[in-house]
Amino acid sequence: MAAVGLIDSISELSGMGVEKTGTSIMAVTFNGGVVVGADSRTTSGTYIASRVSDKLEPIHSRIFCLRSGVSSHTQTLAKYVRNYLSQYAVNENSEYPEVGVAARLFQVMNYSNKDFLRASIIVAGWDPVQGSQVYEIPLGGSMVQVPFAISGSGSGYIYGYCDANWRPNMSENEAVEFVKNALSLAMSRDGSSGGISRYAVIRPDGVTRNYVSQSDLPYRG
Amino acid sequence: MSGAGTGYDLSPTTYNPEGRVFQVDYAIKATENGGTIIGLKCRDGILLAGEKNVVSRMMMEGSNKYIFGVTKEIGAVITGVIPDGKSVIMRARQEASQYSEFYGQQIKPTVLADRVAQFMYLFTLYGGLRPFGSTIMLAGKYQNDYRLFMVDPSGAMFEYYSCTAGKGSQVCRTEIDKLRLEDITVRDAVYHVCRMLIKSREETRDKRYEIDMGWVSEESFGLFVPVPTEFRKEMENKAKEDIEREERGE
Repeated sequence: MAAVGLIDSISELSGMGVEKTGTSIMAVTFNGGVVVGADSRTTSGTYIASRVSDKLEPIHSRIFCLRSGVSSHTQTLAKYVRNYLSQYAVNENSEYPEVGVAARLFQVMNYSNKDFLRASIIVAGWDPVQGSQVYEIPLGGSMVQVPFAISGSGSGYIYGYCDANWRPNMSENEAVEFVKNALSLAMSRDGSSGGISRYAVIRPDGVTRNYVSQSDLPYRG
Repeated sequence: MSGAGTGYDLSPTTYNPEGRVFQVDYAIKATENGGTIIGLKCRDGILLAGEKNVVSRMMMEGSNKYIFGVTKEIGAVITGVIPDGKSVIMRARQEASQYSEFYGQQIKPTVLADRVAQFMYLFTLYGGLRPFGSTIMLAGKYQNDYRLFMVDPSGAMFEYYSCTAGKGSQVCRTEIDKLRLEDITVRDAVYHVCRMLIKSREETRDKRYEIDMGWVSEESFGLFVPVPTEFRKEMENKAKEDIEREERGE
């Protein structure tokens, strides 16, 4: 972590921070797939570098990752994993590689480079072997499979809401509503999160992407 | 010193005018002199077996096996130059463990067989290395499927329903073709394999030998394990008696 701290302090002195995704991201399994959602704000210190960024990163046809931390770190990790996973899929003749493999690749790289990275990732997707899965890989490089995950600076404000409102075996519509509400609440309280909320529904037969415009957000604080 | 490949057989880096690489061919010859090994994909799993000459009464029974576990679900049997084969198995074990370290999953039999084949192929490319003088058979379970592969010294890998290698491979091949593999279980196959192996020892009937067997099947819950010794010995004795009885014409 030393190197990251140094970069941060140097950029603080110059007035601009390292480009970070202070962010609200979440992924939720439901009966028959996964919903992933994120806000769209990327900050450089207090400057909003992008108010329409896309934090839903496809890794494979049915696997997404959600990124929070230092943008360049998370983007590069995602690129490596996408590369390794596509080679793996070709080698093993597997049209839909297992989500756990993608998660493992993130974890191995996050852990071995923990001194140099600040990246917290949620991996979510569907595969024919284990169905819908969500894994979180926080800063230190540990990995745990969970039925739903929230992360990023905005997640702190919605733990209560999520714990109270999540149920197992939700339908797709229930899961999407859950994600929309939770993200909207996070964005309304977290200064580093905002813009629009983007979400994607990953099902065995395909992925549909959508967004909620600022005027349509349920909670605007 | 003249021979089939005079001049073109000094190194694996030389083709002969007919397009053969003699060093690889010679390595394959070396495997043909080894003890017979058999792989059978039966209805409920795969049986791997090998027979070896026991050179001296001083050797401990059951030592020096030619059947190895590579992962919990994948096993192998080797023939030919045994130390060569063992070294390939060590590499296979490393590949399997690194794979599961990196991908978080057990390596599939297809992928492992491919890695073994690529490793053996490597040794056919360089002047400073010699090809492995050993044929490897790999068997494993992946999800609900049992897969059997054989890799020869050239690095060629194929998938099989049944395969044989070593001295008695032709005799055993003929015997296997008489069986309907989809109808027999690995348990039944133990008897048949003992018969084949004993029959294929025509010339060396009086020499001491040992049979090693391992299986991966429903019965072993998808794990590659040695066939229980008492059961194997029972089937061996039964096979021996049956063969003697047939020869006496009863």
